[in-house]
Amino acid sequence: MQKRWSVLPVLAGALLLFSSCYPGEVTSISEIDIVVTTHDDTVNFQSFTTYALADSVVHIDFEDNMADDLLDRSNDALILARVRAGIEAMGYVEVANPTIQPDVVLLVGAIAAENTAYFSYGWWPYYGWYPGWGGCCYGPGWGWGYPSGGVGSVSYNVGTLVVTMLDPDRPSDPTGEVDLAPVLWLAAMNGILSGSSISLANRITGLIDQAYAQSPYLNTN
Amino acid sequence: MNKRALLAIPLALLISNGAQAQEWYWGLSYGVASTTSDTKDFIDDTSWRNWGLDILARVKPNTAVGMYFGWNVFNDITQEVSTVNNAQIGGTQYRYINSFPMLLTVRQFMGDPGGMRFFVGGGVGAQYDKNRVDVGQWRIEDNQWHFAVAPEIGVILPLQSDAKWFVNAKYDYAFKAADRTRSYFQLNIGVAWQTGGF
Repeated sequence: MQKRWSVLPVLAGALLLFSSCYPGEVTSISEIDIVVTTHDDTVNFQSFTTYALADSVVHIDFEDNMADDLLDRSNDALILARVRAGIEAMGYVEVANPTIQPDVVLLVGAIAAENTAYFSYGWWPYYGWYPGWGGCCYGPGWGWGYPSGGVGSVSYNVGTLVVTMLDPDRPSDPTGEVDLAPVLWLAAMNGILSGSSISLANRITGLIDQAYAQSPYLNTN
Repeated sequence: MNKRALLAIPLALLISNGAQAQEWYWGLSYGVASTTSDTKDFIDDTSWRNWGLDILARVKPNTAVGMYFGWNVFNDITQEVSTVNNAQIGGTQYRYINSFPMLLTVRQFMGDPGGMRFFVGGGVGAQYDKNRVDVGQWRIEDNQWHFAVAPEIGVILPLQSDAKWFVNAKYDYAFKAADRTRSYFQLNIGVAWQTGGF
């Protein structure tokens, strides 16, 4: 009869095995890449046929030359080639002659930032003091150190690639007082700057492709 | 029948039959659940993370009333592009629902006490759902209370004198709040401890 009670450990085991509020967390860095696109929905993109692409990726610095510090230019050619391939797949034709004004202009920029995430290991005191460690603190051999506040930190670099489509014929300000070209389409691709150069190149390629894939309204074919 | 009337039924039964309420039934269940309707649109998942606690008091020979507390976890990973206003957001989305139904319940038993007994019943009450989407380095959390009902059918099987097996099937439906419903089917197995003749 006692044998029947084996159901209890089975239930308890199931409870422990599956007791996660948030299963299936991120397993690779590419899974936290994100592409955001937006556009002016008053624009008829099918009326455009030609484009020009800026010949370089602009590092957009908001402070202390951070973009130049954190970004290198090893992927610039790849980025420009992929942006060009994507827009041409949408049916746009590049204007090679600088004396001819294109219907739209594509600009490519990159932003970088260093993010710091803080985490708590406040569970530590619950173990009580273990005298075997001797003294009150970790020695210098630990290097990393345990600040007294029970909080650690980790820093990581984040990059955002921005592709902007402008209409050079269309003033953004009806009064004509502000000389800024209006944005017709914008794609922002954001991810953590980490991994091998091959991995980073693959991620950049995939992100640019995704930006076009989720913007079917650009298609003029 | 309005929501207050639904809530009042098990309470009235419990209060009016307090003299017989010394006979208790505690059931712990584990099961599988599958999302439906709006919930399936958000997370298409058959989840193995479902637990429940039933506490019942017998108020009539074949009728028991009580409470049910559940915890159901659903998750999904999708590459679906989401549109917010005029922006499209692409990337791997990790979607989660942690659903906590808290219901007043009533069960009607069939068959002889102590033997195999079928039952039908249902619950009515509140459900708190924690909805979460992780995309990129961002997290969107949107938690919501719902009014909920949960009809069920099941069977109790003898295990020992004070213990039972039980199996039940339940449909948990949380009414619309914040423009969405939440619903899922559950199939559970559990053990129960009881006093008296359940």
